Amino acid sequence: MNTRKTILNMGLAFSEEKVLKKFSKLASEGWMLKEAKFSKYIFEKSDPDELVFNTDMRVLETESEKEEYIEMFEVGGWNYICSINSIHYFSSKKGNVSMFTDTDTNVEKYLESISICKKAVIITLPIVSISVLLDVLNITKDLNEVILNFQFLITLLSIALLIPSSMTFIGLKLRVKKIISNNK
Amino acid sequence: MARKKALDDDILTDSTYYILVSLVKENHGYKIMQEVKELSKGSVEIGPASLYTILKKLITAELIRLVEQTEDRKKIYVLTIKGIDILKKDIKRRELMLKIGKNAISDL
Repeated sequence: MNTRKTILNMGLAFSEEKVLKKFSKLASEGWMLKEAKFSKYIFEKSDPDELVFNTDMRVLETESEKEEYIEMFEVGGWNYICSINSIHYFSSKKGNVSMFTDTDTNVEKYLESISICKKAVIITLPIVSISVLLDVLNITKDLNEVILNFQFLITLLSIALLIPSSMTFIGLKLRVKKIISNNK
Repeated sequence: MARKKALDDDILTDSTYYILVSLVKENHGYKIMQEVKELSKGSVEIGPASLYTILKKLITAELIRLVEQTEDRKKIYVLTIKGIDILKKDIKRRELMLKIGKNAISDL
């Protein structure tokens, strides 16, 4: 029997709650989250356990800062699992204190990511819009091929950035909205 | 976000209030969770992510400061003069709220 299992990582922007519930389900079936990678989550065979999972998003600049951070969570009953892109995964026994106990700090978790996505959209949306507009209005058709290729490349890169950024932005904004309305 | 200015307005959330109370004397950051639970007789619990975030904000706002780290490199914090002042102000605010409520209820 395999001692390792993998599931796809579809990102947390839209489905964080579902993903965390899935981790709990797998843990109760004897599969413990071990590692988070860009495209997948890796689980290892373990004793079945009733666990809850959560993430915190935070930039930890130094090793000593990370040590202090992890220790605070461990003292609070949240065991560190792994990190990817400043997203830190933890598990705790059911019934333990919540990772976030007030709305403000729960919302703040997402603010840095929302801000980064917003900046990306602000830069790429105009580029894509103007480029498409120029093409639609046939303004650029007589230009030098080199410039046209350059325009095409820039537009392509911008779209490649715009789509995930805007989707993540919307997903996180919805998540924040839900947290605030859950706590009213 | 209005709440980001909470510290400037001297209106503290309950979590922040209890954290400041537990730092009137020097204390280890990680011990605050247990202490707040005890002080509030279990009615207020602070989660690690919330605690970590609030501690960072309090340091930035200079309401608490880092004391010399002990040999085992565990961080110890304590209120600054400004922090003591803000806490006193919020205690007064809460006392007033309490008084108003008690007066209203006593008429029932």
